[in-house]
Amino acid sequence: MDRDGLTSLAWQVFSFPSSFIIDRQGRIRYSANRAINWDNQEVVQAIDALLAEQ
Amino acid sequence: MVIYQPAMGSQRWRVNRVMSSLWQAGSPAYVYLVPDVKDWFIMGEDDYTEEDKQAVNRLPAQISLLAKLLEHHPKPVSAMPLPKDSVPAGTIHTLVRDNEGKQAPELNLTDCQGRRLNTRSLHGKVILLNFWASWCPPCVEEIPSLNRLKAHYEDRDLHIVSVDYRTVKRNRRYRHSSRIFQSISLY
Repeated sequence: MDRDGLTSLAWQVFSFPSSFIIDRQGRIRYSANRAINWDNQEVVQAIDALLAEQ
Repeated sequence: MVIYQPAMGSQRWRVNRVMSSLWQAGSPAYVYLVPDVKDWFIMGEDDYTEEDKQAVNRLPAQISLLAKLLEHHPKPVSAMPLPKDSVPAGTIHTLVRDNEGKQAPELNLTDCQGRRLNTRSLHGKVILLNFWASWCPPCVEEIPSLNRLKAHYEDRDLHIVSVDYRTVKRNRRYRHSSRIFQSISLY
């Protein structure tokens, strides 16, 4: 839980839902600032590509 | 302008910057920090806290007081025209690619059962981080597809973390959330 709102601030979350995909090296690679269908092809391809990285 | 800002809200930490920009641009502006509540406290659904209830009850009287405050300021006769090229155009993608490759801020969270999560412990994995709130219908709408995604990547290096933006520990709601989130880590 983000009781003081500071985690949301650090991630610059200003609307809900907000989501981020972070790669194996801890870098932010994708974001979504609205609700999306998470098991669609575009998302699966993006995650597959990130999983293939070292 | 008056900004009516919950004191515990996510935008609270941006208020100083907004206010100084407004004042520097010559716009009379005030901020009212609503004590003890978070963003969307008026949307507390069936589990308002006592602070939420009191804040909602105070709201109508405060709005008329703040409106009176604004009456003392001259108002522009007409709105300024918008610059023609201010609306960006482009294809809408499901995901927005971040080409800067910024290092993600460290996450340090505790769930309702006191379990801690630090994203450093997930280094080497792909992380899907989802900020949501139970009062946000689109957030709830996308949960089943998050569960399906989780199932699709079972036993792979994808870790899905959902961060609930809320004020207080609510066990009943937490149990409900745990059920709808299935095996997704919930903080």
